[in-house]
Amino acid sequence: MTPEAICLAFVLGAAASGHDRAAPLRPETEVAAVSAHLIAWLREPGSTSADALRERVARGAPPAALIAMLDAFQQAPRVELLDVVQQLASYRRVDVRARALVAWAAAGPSHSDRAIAAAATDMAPSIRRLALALSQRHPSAAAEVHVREMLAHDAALAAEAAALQDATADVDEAALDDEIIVLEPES
Amino acid sequence: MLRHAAMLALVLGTGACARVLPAQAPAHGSLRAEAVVAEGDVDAPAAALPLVVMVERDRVVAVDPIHGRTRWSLPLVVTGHPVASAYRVILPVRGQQLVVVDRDSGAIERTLVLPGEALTGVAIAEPWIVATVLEDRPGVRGQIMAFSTEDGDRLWRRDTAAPLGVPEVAGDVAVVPAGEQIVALRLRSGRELARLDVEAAGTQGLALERVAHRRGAWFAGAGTRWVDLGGETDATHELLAGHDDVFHATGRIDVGHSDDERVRLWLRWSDVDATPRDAMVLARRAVVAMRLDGQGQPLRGRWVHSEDEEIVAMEVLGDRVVLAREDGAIVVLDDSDGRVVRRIGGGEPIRGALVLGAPPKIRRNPRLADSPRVTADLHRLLQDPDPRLLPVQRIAADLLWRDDDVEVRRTVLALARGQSGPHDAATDAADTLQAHAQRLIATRWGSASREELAASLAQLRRRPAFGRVDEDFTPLVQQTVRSAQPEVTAELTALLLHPGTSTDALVGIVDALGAIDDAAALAALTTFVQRYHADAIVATESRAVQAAATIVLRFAAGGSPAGVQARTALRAIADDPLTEPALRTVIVRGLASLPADGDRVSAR
Repeated sequence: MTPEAICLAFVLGAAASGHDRAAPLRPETEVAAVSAHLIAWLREPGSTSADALRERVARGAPPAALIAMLDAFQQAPRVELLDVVQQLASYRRVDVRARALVAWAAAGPSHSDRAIAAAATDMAPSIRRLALALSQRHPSAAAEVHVREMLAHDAALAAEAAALQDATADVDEAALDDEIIVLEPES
Repeated sequence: MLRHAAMLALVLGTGACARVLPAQAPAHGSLRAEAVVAEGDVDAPAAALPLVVMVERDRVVAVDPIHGRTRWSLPLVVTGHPVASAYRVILPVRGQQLVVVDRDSGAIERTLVLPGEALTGVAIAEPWIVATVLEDRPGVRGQIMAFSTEDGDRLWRRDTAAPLGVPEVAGDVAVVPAGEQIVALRLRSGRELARLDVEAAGTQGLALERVAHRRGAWFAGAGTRWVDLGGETDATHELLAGHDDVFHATGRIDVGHSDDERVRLWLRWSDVDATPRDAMVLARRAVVAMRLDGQGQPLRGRWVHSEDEEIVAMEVLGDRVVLAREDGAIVVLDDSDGRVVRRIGGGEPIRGALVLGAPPKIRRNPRLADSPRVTADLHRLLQDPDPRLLPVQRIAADLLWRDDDVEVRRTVLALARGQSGPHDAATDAADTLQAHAQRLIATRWGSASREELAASLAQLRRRPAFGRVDEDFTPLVQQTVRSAQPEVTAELTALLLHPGTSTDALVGIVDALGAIDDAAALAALTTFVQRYHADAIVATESRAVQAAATIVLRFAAGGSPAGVQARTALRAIADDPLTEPALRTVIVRGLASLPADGDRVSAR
């Protein structure tokens, strides 16, 4: 049904990308500081850092910081912090929600199925489009069912998927990995 | 020999009446089939003449409540509850006797001597008087007997193995509670015609004190708990649920007028089906008239009336409510709005009264306008410090809580939280009223029926999701403010935190949670504000986040643990340099206006 794997990358205007190492805690007067703390806790093993990250997210963080943390989670998932990611999959903004779903799907086969199921019934068209892409990255019988059900109710997306399949039929899979799909925040 | 045998057979045949009525016997017959009563059986002209028979300490006085004239008086010490027909008044007096008096003239026609240890109850329907008494002989717990009103002859009597309740007479049948059963006897002969099991008497502890016949239907019970004897199921009607403790059971002995009667429930029955639709509750010196819902619960106040003296009797005659005061005064109210139509000054103090006259008028239009002052009067009643009014104050709280106007219901919330109330000191009445309000606010509010509330809740449980028909939650959310049940709070907070909830719906949900004022919403509201306080888009796309913060501030003013937590969360948001500026302003100003220590408030 679908073309070869489509690689997803999200372009963020605000998120910093140079979080190589957890920095010592500094006053969170900037979004970058919050991002740094979240990523540091994410990368630091142990329950103390997990609790710190969980508590900080619960207190509310700027969306850009959350996105940076979710991107880092996607690169190196920590299953014990999946509850944080799943909670952010209910964030009101599409960009945060999308990152959370991608991070959630990266945590493993059973988690990807559930992430795809959540994305497939989302009210936002772009999130449902993400379900389609995630099902390519994390194929499974369950994912296929969720996507088929979604496309049965979303004629526009079904047409889009069919057109994409035609357009990319001869494209090298390696090249697809470099494709970037930009998600615009929805009003 | 044969003649003797025939005589014996005849005696034994009619002496079926002499056999002891068993305490428990197989059910048989049909009460409805046997006790057929035509609606016009009462002598209308005579019955329409109103009369108030007032029981003084050692005298009975009959007063015309229209003209304020004494019709007659008798030097009698009345020890039980009088009953009356269109022509006679029966007065239980000392010495286990019944004095039969001409209703119009007061002339004593005769005195009937009763057997047994004590009177249980009396009923009259011309030409019969039926009385039940308590007995204490081996195998015999009671007796029931019938007398002729014309010559006073005792027509028959029967011993019973079960204690009896107060009888009712209708047509040519006497119906009486006997243990856990109801027995119908032919008035002419005392022969048992029907016997009915009342399962609720055994399984639910329903007290079978008396039988009542209303609009072709038979009921048995006491106080606020009654069972329809002709119903398809043995379901008990529990009217004014939660208030039955104030209506005292009279037991098997008629001890005459007592203070317990000054808390009384009067019911008006539907003319469509035999179900109670209107009620009046008398509590000492106040009367609250109300409309009941389909489950017999207070739905809407009609009017409130109070006196400065205790009221010992209350009855509805035609379209008037007649009250007899302890000082012998008579007050006549208009049934529709409770306004005073007439006052008749009192004489000697009275212990009780029997109010006689035309039956209550059928109110064909159940939507008749209530007193425009009723809501204000109910509020005022709640502020009265007299502990004797506690029964009607509890009902007043119920009625205000069933109002669709959230502003009207705030009184009950304030009462539950100890923020208002009638009693300055920590009295038992104050504690009881507050506890009642606390129980009340944990139940449904507004006027919607249980079925309507269940349907609304089921709709609210749906979540926004692609593939479902696009639905607007706004009308449903608005409805919860008018009438809903506490479970809606969880659904509203779930919708609050759901990403698919539209911005417009979000504002309505926050406003509804603010109006409902349920502390169970505090955690979700705080989460909502925390989650988006640093999100410039979500915090400004609508007023939802600021409105939620305002509600959280209101709860933070309280001293409850949840309020303290809310205050801590808000302080952290206020201190966060990344908080959306307009939101920070709201929170900082709100925190500054909070009392330092917080009030001692018990949030719902």
